[in-house]
Amino acid sequence: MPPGPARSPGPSVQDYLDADSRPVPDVLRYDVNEPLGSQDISVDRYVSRAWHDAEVEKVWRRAWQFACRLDQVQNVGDHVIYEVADDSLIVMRTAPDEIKAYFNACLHRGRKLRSQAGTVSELRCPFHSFAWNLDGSVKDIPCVWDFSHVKREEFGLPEARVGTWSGFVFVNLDPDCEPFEDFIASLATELQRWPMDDRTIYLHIAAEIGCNWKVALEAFIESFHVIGTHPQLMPWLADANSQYDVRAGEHWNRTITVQGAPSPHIADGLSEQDVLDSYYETRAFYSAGVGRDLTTPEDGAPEVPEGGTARQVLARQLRAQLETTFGRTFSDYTDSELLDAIQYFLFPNFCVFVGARTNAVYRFLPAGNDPERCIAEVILLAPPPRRGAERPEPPPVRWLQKGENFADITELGLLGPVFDQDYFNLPYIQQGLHTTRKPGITLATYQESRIRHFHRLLEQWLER
Amino acid sequence: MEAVVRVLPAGLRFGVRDDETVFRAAARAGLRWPTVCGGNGSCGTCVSTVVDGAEHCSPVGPLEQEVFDTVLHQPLRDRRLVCQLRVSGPVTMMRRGVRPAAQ
Repeated sequence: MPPGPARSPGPSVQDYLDADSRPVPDVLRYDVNEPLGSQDISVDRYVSRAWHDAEVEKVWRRAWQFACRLDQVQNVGDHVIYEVADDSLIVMRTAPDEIKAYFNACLHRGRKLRSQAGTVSELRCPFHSFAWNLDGSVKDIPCVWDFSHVKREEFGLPEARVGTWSGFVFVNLDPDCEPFEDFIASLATELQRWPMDDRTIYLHIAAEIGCNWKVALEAFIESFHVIGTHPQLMPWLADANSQYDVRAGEHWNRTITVQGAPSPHIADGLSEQDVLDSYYETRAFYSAGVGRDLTTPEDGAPEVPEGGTARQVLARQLRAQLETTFGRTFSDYTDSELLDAIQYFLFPNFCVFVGARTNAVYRFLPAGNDPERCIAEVILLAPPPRRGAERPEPPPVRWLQKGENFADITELGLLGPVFDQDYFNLPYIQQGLHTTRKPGITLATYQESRIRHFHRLLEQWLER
Repeated sequence: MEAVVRVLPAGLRFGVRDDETVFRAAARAGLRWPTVCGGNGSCGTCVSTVVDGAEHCSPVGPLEQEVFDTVLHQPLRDRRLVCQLRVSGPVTMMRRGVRPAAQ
């Protein structure tokens, strides 16, 4: 068989969707994987300074990238610092209907204007007290008698471009970049069913990891690794028969991984009741109040009726639990949107899960100018709070300290150890890439096609 | 209801409403408190010592804490930025250079 059409044994995602208790929307019904070849991916992409420098120049300084949630810049003066490689931006609400991104440097001697997120009424440099208004115009030149050569109207803060979509704020450092609307159009159309404007940040975790940012990203855009990394998930996670959607002409791609159904690796011998019981035992992710997964009641997990499936029961239970937690109906959502991992990746580094429940956003960035280190972030978005309930303030970023594990973050529930399993691999991948004598890594044709697509996009950007 | 703030060593007194900072109340009373940023919580110039009445002082917010951490590089102890400070009862402060604006 030529490379491309081979698929895992076991039911396909579309087979599972055929059995959904609700009509399945078209957006989940397509299955497309355009062949992009099977060449090895060169190791130097992960370890070389030259690759890193090229990425900074051609990608980070030119591509649209996710900076923050609108919630984080809700009021005038609220700002976050978005940093990538050597660049630093102050992303700030400058007026009730305006968000700007200023290059984070004083126009006098260059000191960074802001070193942390917060709320201010002006941008004042801590070096000599030069100050700018929130709209970027210069406010205060100390000892102005000594700066007769400075024209105030030319001393405004330089800006990067800003675009917003679905509650996300994107920035672009290139003044000549494509319009944000063009960049986001096809993904925005694709994700119309899952608006995320109303979602709130429940948890924002950041960690500095000893690996290239691409090593980290690529560990989170395939479900193939479950067999080696997350063995405890296999009784209820259909890993090898996940669906990977890749269109060569798009700058985003997708995975659908069915949950509440067994991995084809161990499906033999597992009953539907085994699948359901295992789900209850090991998928108690998140915490109460933000749509925690099912936890076993005192009288035990429910029984799968004769001829029924674990997915049917789990979907029914989750729907009822979410309705209780959030005080609204979830009856229009398919079983798939309640149970499955439906993840989109938008080049260069934005990953978002969609569906009805608490969903994660992942972001991976080089740490400073070091190709051997990256900043990995997990942002958990909870469904909108109950009608009339106060919208929670976004929590500050929680940096994972040395020696601290995701499992120590109680709000993650049993998702914590899952992240630990993933993150434990990452420095060892980077180390292995240095010692390997093989010039490239070898990817699975189908299950790792999103990684190949990502590299294709990266090549296109580097050739520009 | 106004709380009375006394400023040493000049011995000045003025009332502070519960909707304004000590800095704004001083300005309303015609007093000039040393400042560069004009009360925006970004320069650290108005830092003053609370001599008495700490229990009537508002909690320290993130911006004020940041100025202590990143501009003054000193722990707060008994000091506050008056441009961020609100009071709910009598407070005595120490700050040289607080004087009527006309002087």
